[in-house]
Amino acid sequence: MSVGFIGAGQLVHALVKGFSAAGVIATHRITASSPETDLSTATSLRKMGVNLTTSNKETVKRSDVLFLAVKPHIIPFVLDEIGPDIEERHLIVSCAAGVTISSIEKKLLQHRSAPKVMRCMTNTPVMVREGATVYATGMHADLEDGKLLEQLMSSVGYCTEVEEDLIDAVTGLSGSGPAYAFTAVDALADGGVKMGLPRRLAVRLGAQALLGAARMLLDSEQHPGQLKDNVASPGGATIHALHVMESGGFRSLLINAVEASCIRTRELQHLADQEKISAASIKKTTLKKVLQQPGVSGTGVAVRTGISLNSPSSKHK
Amino acid sequence: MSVGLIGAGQLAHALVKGFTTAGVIAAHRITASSPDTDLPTVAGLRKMGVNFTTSNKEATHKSDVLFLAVKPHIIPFVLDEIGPDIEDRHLIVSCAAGVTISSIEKKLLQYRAAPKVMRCMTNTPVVVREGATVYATGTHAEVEDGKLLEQLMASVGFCTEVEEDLIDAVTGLSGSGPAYAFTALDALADGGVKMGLPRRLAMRLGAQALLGAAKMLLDSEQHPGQLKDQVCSPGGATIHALHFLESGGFRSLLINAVEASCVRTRELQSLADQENISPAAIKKTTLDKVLQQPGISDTSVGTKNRVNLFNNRSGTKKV
Repeated sequence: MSVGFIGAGQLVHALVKGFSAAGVIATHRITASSPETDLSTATSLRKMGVNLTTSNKETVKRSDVLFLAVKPHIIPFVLDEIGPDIEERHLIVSCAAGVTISSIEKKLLQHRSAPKVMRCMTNTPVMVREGATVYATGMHADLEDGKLLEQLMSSVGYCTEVEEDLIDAVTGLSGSGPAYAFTAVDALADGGVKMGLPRRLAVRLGAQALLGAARMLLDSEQHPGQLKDNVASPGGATIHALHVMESGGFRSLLINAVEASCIRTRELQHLADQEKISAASIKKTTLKKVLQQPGVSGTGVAVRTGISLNSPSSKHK
Repeated sequence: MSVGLIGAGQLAHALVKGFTTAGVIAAHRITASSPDTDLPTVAGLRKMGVNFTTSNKEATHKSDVLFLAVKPHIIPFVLDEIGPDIEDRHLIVSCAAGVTISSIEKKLLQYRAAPKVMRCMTNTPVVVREGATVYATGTHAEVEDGKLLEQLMASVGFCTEVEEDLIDAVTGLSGSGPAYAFTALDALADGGVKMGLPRRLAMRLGAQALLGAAKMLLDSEQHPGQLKDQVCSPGGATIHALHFLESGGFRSLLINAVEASCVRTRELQSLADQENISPAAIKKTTLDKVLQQPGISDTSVGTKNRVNLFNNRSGTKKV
């Protein structure tokens, strides 16, 4: 089985790092493409033994499972470009936040009668094989396709199937979650440094405390409140600390964060659905590189960025 | 090597679970003691195959490395009780927040010329072998003693030696840290549920996200701010969420928390140093159970909570 990635950025780098550490697929069976060759992640991918190309079409040809790992607003361009090259065997897995299965199926149906599409939301800790992934299965994808994707993603962390309408909420929680954690550890380390610890030790202890607590919760049947109670001895240091956190509305800030991320995801999806794709949404320098690829026709891609000569709207023929 | 634990509560239970899972010591070579047999953790310890006793003296006799895993205000009573039973081989490791090595050495010097004392601050995730432990070495403990403790504690998580004056700050950070995390996880799950996720899935995803991020940070040379930047794509969902956290002073709350825990730890230490140990500090029912243990004399323990007939200060009389 071969895996392809459209895109060669942070997410691709993290997934490939995780997959190869897990030994679930050999790097020479992975192809990644991006018109940008000077991404730092592209260099790392090459070093890992991945086949790196500037041609999305080449990636499609060389893969069975094809991950779409580009920014949401780039997805339509990519689908227009690779649509003609999708074969029966291809399983398309979109990792783009807010991009619906039906919007992808709609585009691909112009080229193929039963495109197998899945949608997943994962996160960067796949890099250390502790990712959190959910996926939803499109109309034409089978149970086996789901199992295949689950096998891949379980090798790099937790993975479960969900109904598609939950994916935006998952984005807000575990998609963005690592950023909340990095911010928290930075602040905890500041606290430790304020009270006299050297920075490195403070970062280490803060991260270890979070990791250990999360592991305890995952391994336990108990409620997080119960686990918190177990750490807070009467009149002790911990309950004093918890009080200042509650006084500042700590919990509320985290609920706000999950909500804000989820709402923004739905907003992005809504904008995409309206097909308000501005002509400027893809850089001319990038477009030029794409058009230079063998097999890419101007009509396939360029019509998205330029006003079509035949009609003022930028819709595909 | 045998390990003893004075105390059979949350920490003792977590340490034993971690040690036995790690295979660093067999359960039958561990003895834990507490006068209180009703603690739920006592049943857990028994099930693991640990020798449980109500006699602190017995735990002392049966151990080489002896952890003091009781609440800080109980430490003086325990030291008075087991002081006469400490031998040359014993390595005393206090896990009590805010209790200084010198206060422990001072007490034990009444019974022994060179008591080997160490002090550590650990945390409950030792139970899943992901603890965070620091330790400081006392006057009469050797480098080998430090290595021995480090070997034990490294089997259940991160462990490093520090100067003793850092330990209160460590208490505020990684000692209390798991409680901050459990609170955060509860709130994150609430957020997920608010946006439509079932509770179990929300909890699972929240915990997994924190775990994965922490692991990334530990495995990386990069600054947490750098890692945060990499998750925030332009105009995306994550940077919108972060703005909410910053607007609410999220970082400041965590700094406050670490500080509050550290300050309280120092407060408890200061109270203990003043030796203002109230007669009510130990329950009469508990004291009663302790006094029933073989080898305990009234004079060694009782003077701490009764007015001494010979003088009014609550100091220990030499036995």
